[in-house]
Amino acid sequence: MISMDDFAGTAAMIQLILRRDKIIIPLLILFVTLFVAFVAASFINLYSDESLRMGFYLQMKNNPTVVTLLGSVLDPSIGALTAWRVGFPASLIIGLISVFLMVRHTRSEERKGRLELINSTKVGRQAVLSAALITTFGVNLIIAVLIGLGLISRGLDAYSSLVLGMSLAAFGCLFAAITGVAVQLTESSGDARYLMAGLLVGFFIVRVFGWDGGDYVWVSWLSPYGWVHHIGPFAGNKIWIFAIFLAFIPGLTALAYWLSSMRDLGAGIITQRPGPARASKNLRSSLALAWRLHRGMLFFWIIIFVLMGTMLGFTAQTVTDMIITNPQFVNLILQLGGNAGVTDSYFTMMLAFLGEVFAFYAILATLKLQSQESNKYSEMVLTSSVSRSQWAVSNLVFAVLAPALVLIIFALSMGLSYGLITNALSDVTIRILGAALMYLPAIWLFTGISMLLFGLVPRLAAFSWVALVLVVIIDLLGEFFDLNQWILDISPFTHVPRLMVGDEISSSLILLFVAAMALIFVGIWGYRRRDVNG
Amino acid sequence: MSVIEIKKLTKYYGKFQALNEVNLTVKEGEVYGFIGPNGAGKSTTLRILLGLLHKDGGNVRLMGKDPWKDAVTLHQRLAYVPGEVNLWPNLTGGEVIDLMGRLRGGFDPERREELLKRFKLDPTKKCSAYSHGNKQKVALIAAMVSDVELYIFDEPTLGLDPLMESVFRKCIKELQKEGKTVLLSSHILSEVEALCDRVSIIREGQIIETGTFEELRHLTRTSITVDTIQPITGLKELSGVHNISMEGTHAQFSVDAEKIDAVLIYLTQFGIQSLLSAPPTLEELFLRYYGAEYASMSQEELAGE
Repeated sequence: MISMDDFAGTAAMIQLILRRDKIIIPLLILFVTLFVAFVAASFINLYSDESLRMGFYLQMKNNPTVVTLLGSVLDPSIGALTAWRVGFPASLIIGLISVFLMVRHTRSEERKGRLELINSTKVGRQAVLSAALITTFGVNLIIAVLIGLGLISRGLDAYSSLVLGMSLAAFGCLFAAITGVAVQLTESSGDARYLMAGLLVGFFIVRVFGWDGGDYVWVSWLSPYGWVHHIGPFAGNKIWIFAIFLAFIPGLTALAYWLSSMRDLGAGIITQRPGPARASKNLRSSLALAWRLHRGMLFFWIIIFVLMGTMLGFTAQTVTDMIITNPQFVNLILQLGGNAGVTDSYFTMMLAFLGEVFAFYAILATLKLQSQESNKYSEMVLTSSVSRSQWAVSNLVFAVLAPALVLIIFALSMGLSYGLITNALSDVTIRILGAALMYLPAIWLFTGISMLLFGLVPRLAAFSWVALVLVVIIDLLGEFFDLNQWILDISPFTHVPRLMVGDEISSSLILLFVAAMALIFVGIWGYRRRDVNG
Repeated sequence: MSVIEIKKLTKYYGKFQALNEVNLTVKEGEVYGFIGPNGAGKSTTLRILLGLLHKDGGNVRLMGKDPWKDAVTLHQRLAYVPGEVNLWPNLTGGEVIDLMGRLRGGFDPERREELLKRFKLDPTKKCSAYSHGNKQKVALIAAMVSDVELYIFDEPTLGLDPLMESVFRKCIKELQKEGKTVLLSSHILSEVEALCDRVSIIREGQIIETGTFEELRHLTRTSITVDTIQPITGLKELSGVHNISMEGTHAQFSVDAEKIDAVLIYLTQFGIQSLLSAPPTLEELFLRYYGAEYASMSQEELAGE
């Protein structure tokens, strides 16, 4: 059982974490805080005029597509608009940060054997878990306070500002606590991360199912995203909802401690099964090895996007029904999506919303090459009869085809579930698929960027993420401001034709494809010529 | 025929010169030791031999071919165990052995079973669950399972327990009997001494000595332990005598190879009761080259105690 001695040295461990992460923690805090401040600032700049703001509010409130993804707007004030707009993305980011910090300072430490070193000194068994939890909770609270202060400095209501900050922090702390449990269960840090990423997405799917305009709003109470939304900062401030968080966070934390006291160092509650003593007959080429390395991630993404697609296709019917029965909505949609059909506009928006996510996958898959090299796994392969181009291409197959496959599966699940619900398996599935495929050149551009960096300057391969973040920022800005066309043109997603709402395939799309392929080839060329780091 | 021929090999990492005109020749059927402290350039040399790194100057031939250009063909004829073994965490040891063997063009399953038994390795564990030593075993088996001409080991016994170390030595001896060529980099001197026909000593990117052990021994000192009837005097004044420690009639010191004769004649006047002379070990050989650097350090350590 747990005794006080088990906590000895917690303070020293916290210091160690803060020293190791003295750059990354402030950066993460700054990132979330600035994101919220930026959204608030754009609302202040763009919609200071009350009637304009009212228009925007009505438009957003009455657009079921937007409501599905972001929840309903509760109030036309600047504060409520900000809270509504940041609610989902900021929760997701703060959740990811909490998962990252917790796994990094618990299970990863244990995996690398450092924990053994620490535990053999005067540090108690539970000190590492305690230090990770305290630090992560602390980071969340700091983010909450800074978000609050940022909004107050903009002249928004102080109490509501803090409620908004705290609602996000509560979400983060909840995920920190869940991660505390997850790292006790799995033996590898990678498994713990997958489990948590799955939960973050899973709760989002639950939230979409219980969307605010649908028939199952009660389902939204089963998802922490829903709780954050229902708190409604600047629009009611239902602070009693914090009680739900406050019930789960200590409960899960206690569970984490209990599990941690039960298990051996290095072991997980779910023990790793022994694997095969012989490799399967197929594991005999670099492509087969690449498949082994990529398949877990691929299956994970396929499952997530089948669920997501099915859910969005399912919701599409309700959305369309609502719109069709209300002439006011029809007008609105027609304004938004030209003279295209209501459903078509809906699917177009869903694809636009998720396009960048597939680019995320493309980078993740390409950078496997980088992690294989820095972990010195590639060395084993490259000193056997596998050439560098073979090894690069084997991995690139998955960085190019796997995102395409996930995208196609997503489009099909969306189309089929919509078709089944409406009892009309019309050509809409094919048209969604066609529209989805238009995203491929833009997605592959990120495969190309990652491969280029990996091939020429592997040290900077992580800058692929910077490129993606820049594009996301441009796309986000484009949502609020009348940006110069040339700025918008930087984002490859600007060049994706919205086939379902009447766009046609343009030459810039073909150019994008050519550029993506060129970058990939230059990357391979560079990789063949450079030193393999080790 | 030379399996490995390195001439004036030079390599820079940025401005840092990692290798400075390294020469190394390994003949067919030879077990060759490549020794030096950490960071001396052993791994860099091996990685150039394997076509993982570019060379900045000099000439390298591996089995008559260019290790950079002909990497793929050459790699079918050799097996390599890296210094720091890292294996895919989600593959089992058995899978890694099979995969590596197949990538090198196939292997004998009986040999695999035999090696698994000798090294006492459980092949069903995931690589993430193996200890450091067990990972090393997986890599060693994966290399030795293949029937190739050349085996390259970078610090192969790091992390192995003494029992497994001796299994490894036996395996190398067998490879030697089969006429295979082995290049073994190490800083564990007893291992090199037990296994290798010839050695090269590398230091700060330069080869400072090459030869058989016999050839290298002349460079160093023989240690002598002697008991005499009368206490020895005047030992300090003799040239070529070092590290003297005396306790009454018992004395211990080391002598330069070329002075042994003179010293022994000198000793006889004190009446020798027993005399023990030990040939220099590689340890001593080694310390002679690095001694200067470590001497000051050990002095400080002594002062600290």
